[in-house]
Amino acid sequence: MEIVLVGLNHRTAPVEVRERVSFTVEQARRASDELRLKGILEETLVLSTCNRSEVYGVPPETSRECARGLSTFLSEFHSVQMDVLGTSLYHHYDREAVRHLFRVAAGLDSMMLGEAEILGQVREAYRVAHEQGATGPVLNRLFQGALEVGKRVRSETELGTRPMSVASAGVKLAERIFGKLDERSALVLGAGTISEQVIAQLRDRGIAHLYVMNRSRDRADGLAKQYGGEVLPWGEWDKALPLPDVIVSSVAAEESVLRREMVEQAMEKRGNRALFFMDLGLPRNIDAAVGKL
Amino acid sequence: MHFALFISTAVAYALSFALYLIFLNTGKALTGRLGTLLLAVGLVAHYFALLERSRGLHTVPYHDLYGSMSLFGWLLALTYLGLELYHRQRSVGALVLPFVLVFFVAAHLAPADRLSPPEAHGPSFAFHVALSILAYSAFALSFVLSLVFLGEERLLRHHKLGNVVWRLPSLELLERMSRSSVLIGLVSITIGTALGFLWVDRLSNKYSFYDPKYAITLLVLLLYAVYFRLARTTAWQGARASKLCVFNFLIVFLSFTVVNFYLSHSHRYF
Repeated sequence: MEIVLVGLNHRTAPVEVRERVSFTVEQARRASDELRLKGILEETLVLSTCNRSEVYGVPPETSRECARGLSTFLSEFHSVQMDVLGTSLYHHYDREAVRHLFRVAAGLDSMMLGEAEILGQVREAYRVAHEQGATGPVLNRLFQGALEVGKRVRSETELGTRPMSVASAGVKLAERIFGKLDERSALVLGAGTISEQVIAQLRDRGIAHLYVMNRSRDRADGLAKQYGGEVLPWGEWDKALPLPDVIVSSVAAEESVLRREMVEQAMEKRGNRALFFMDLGLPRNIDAAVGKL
Repeated sequence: MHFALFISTAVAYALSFALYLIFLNTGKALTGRLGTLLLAVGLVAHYFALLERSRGLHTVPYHDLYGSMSLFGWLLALTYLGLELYHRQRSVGALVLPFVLVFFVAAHLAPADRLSPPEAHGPSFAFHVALSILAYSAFALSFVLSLVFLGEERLLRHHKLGNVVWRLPSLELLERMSRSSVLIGLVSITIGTALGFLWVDRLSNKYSFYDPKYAITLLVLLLYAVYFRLARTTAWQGARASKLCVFNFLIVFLSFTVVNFYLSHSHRYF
C-alpha cells in the first residue's frame, strides 16, 4: 500500500496563499478527474477547508515520485507559481500520511484545538469523492478509519466536552471587543452552514438585532424566520453597513464582497462607531485593506 | 511593629499579585477571589503601616517623599479595589499590583527623614492633599487601563490571540473602567483644588500666583474633563480616547515630578 498526501494549511501558509489554493466542491471534483486522467493518481480525494487544502491519493508508481507531480499539478491547477507554493507545501507518505489525516479528523491539527467542524468537513469531502468514484479500496478504508478515529477522540477524551468551532471563536472575539452583545447588532452575509452556526452562536449570546443578507433571498428568509432576524436585500450596502456592530461574512465568492471604499463610506455614516468584521470566507470576502482603516 | 507591618503589607501585596497573575493565566475563579482578599488584607496592613509611621514621626503621611509615595500606593490599591468590585472584573489586578508594590517598597527603601513637625494646617489642607493624591492615583489607574486597552486592541488587530487576551476584560469594559477611574480623579482633584485655594485664602490670605503648580493642576483638570467628554462620543471611543488618556497622564507625571521638585514653591510631594 502506498499513500501520498500533498497540501498546505494554516501553519505552513498565510491566508493570502491558502485562498489561492482552495477548492470549491466543483473544483475538487474536476481536480480529482484530472489527476486520475493524467495518471498521476489512481485514487484521489481533495480536502479543502478554510484552513487547509490537501490532496490524498494512491499513486501508480512510488509515492515520492508522485508527490513532485502532485505539487506541479496544484501549481498549474490554481495558476500559482511553484516558488510561491514551494515553502508552504508539505508532503507525507504512507504511515505519516495516515497519521496526519487521523490528527486532522480528530481536530488536533486545527487552528483551534479540537475544533468541531473538521470532522464534518472530512466526512463531506469523502462523500463527494466516493460518489464521484474517485476513491478505491485504499482511500475508502483510510477515510472510514479516520472518521472513526475522529468520533472516538471526541467521545473518549475531554476534547469533545467543550467543542470549539470557528463560529463560537468568532463570536467570543466579538465579545472581546464589545463585552456583552445584548445591546449590539450583527449583519451576517451568506446563509450557508457556517453562517447558520454563527447566527445560532450570536443568538445564544443574546445579540439584540440580527440582519441577514444573502444572494438567494429564500435561504435568508428561512434563517431570519428561524432565528428571529431581519432580511436585507443583497447589495444594498449603503443601507446595511451603517447598521451593525458586527459583520460576519461567509459567502462563496471569487472576489471581495466588501471593499475598502464601501467600508470607508459606511464608517463616515456611522460616525466612526466601532465595527468588527469576521471574515469566514475562503477566498476572503472582505478586502484585506479594510483591516487598515 | 513598623517592620512587622511593612513585611505583612509587602507579603500580602506580593501574594495578591501572584494570585492575580495565576488567575490571568488560568482563569480559576477561586484564585482571583483569593487575590482580591489578599489585596484587602494588604490595604489594611498598609493603612496601619502609614498610621504607625505618622505617629512615630509626629507628622502627616504626605509630609515627605516616603509618605507621599506610600500614600499614593495605598490610594492606588484602594481605587483599584473599588473599581474591581464595582465592575466585577479582576483580571487587571495582575497589571496594577506591580505599581502598588513598587510604590510601597520604594517608599520604604527611601532614607528615613527625621522631620520637624509640620505646621498645623488644619483639616481643609489635609483633605486638599489627600484628595489630590487620590486623584493622581485614579489617573494612574486610568493610565494603566488605557495601556491595557491599547495593547489588547493591538493584539486583536494582529490576530495574536494568546491565553491572556481571552482573560483580559473586553475593550468596552476597559474603556468603562478607565472612565470610572477618571471620574474619581476628576471629582477628587476638583474638590481637592478648591479646598487648596480655600485654605490659602482663609489661612494665609496670600496667593502665590507664580506657582506653576496651579497652572498645571488646572491644565490636568481641563485635559481630563475633555477626555471624559470625548471618550463618550462615538468618534473618540476606543483607541483615540485611550491615547488621550495616556497623554494626560504624562502631564500628571510631569506635574508630580518636574513641577513639584523644581518649579513649585509649596507642592513638593503632592
